[in-house]
Amino acid sequence: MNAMNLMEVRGLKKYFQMRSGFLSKPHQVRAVDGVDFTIEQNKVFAIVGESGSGKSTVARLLLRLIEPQEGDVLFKGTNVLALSGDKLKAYRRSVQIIFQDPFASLNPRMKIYGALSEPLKIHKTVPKSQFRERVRTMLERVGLDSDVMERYPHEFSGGQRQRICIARALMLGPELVVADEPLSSLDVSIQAQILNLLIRIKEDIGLSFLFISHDLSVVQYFSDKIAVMYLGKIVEMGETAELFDNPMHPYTQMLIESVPKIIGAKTTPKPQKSHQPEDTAADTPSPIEIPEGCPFHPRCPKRFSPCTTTVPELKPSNGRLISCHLTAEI
Amino acid sequence: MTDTLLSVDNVSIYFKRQGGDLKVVNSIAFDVAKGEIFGVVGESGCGKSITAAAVMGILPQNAYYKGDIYFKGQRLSDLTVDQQRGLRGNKIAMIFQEPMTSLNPVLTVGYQIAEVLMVHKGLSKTHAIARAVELLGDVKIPSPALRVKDYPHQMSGGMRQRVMIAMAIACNPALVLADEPTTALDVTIQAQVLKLLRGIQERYNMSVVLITHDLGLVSENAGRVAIMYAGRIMESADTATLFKRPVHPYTIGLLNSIPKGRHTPLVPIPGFVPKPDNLPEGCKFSDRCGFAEKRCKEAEPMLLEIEKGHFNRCILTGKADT
Repeated sequence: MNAMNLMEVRGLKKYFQMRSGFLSKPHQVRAVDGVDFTIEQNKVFAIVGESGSGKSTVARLLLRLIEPQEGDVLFKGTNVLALSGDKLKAYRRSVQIIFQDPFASLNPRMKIYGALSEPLKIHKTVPKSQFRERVRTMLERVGLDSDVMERYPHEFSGGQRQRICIARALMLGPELVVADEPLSSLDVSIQAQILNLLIRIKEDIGLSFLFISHDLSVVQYFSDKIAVMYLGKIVEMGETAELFDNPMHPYTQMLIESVPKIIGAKTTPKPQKSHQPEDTAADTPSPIEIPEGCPFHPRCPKRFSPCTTTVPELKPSNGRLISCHLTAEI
Repeated sequence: MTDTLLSVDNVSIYFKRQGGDLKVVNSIAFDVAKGEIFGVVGESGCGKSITAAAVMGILPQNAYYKGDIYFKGQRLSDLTVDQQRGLRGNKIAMIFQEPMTSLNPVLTVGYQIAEVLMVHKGLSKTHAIARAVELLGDVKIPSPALRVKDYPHQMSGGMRQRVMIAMAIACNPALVLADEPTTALDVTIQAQVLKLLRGIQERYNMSVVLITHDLGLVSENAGRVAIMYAGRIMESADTATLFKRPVHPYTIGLLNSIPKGRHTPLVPIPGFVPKPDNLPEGCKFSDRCGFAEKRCKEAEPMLLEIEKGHFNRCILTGKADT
């Protein structure tokens, strides 16, 4: 195994059982359907995709908040899925999460000091006498004064709360932070602040990130490597810069073209909209009824005969991985 | 302007409160011409949605406005309650952000569209339902004759938002207020819904007020745009000018907050969006502005026309040549 790899995910699958009504037969939702990727040390690995693509399920699987049907998750070579007791607790110190909604992820009845010292209390990494000092240092690191300790979450704006959540995630000195849409509930001017903060923290303490987002401009700015997910599968994966310069999977192309661009601003030339999804199906199919063949084919403007019958494999092409019959042919 | 459809003239919006009412929108003024898409951009709490509610006549019970809103030259406050009700949903329609919560879950989408037509156009139920099927086809919902019997939960988010559009355009309104119409949608679906809205807008020569926090969305769709902050218009211009030559530090700050690729550093606006009851003295952006001087905190600048059609509320960048 490569020494640079912090986390390796192989063949990860998570199916949920769902019932649509009291008497109906349960059916399966293939939320994550065979996903492989590697997170390198001190790098940002991003998963992008739309709602229902399974990106948040991947995050929760890696943290073992839910258990997968199949697959392996290796953290520094150790199989995470086999851990229990103290070893699992130690793993959870190394991998922390930042959630999307800073309004829902802080206990409204707990003062900020309480929220930030709780991880220390549970994991007993430092003696109690040092709690206050630890909390103060971490608050400073995220750009907050130490007097916020005695205040309650409702006294803070969304951006400040997200800073508090970041501080909480850092309390135990993690090596990997899973950030699940950490910016999407924030205002534009605040998003940039938090993004810059994450970058600074990454550089200061050599963190690695799994960054989950639907916002392509943020991902382009922050990540080193990207996996594009669609209906539980990775459809394209590669280096961020290359993927944005030359998106190859039709879904990646559609995603990048769909982002509204500011026309006239110096740095973003208006791209040519080469193919409009006009005659193709409009909506993302539900993960309950994933189409036959390539899951993207009903929406794909470039589909041809094999797409409706055969599932394309994720194969290397042009220095990245793509699952598309078009690139497989070349 | 001769073909002005909507004119918002010096409107301030207040919330009733013990110990003095709270002003959330401070004397804003803008015109929307016939057939135009006018963008209103701002962050949460800047007053953009409540302004739309005032135009629509659906301010919450504890809110009221001062100033005048004219629709086709007629002052809305002069109309009787019945006349206002006749406009709402008929000549002025609204598309809300959340198609989940703004459709009635226990009525079919067909009935909800038909209801608009029965109320405003006096159509019979059969005719109204038939028209609803056409409208669902207009908003590109596949097999509309079947889908008309669907309940909202049977549809995806993008389809629900298209149902909202169908309801809004049912009476062929002159003005559509679209309040964050695509914020709840995925980006590829957003592109489709907007394309659809644009097509309908052009076909019927409707005017649209597009309220959003997304600068890119406004840039691609609106003809003119107003940037709001703390209940005020800070800068307004035609879209091309505003994005090519933004002058207000807040507009510039917003543009710099958007990632533009790996090699352009992000320059965020410091501080946080102020609450309406806790605004700074003088210019309301002065506490977050990198250029602020002493005089910025002394008096609030006026919204001045710095070149034709380009308005700016800043004493430092007020001149057109800066």
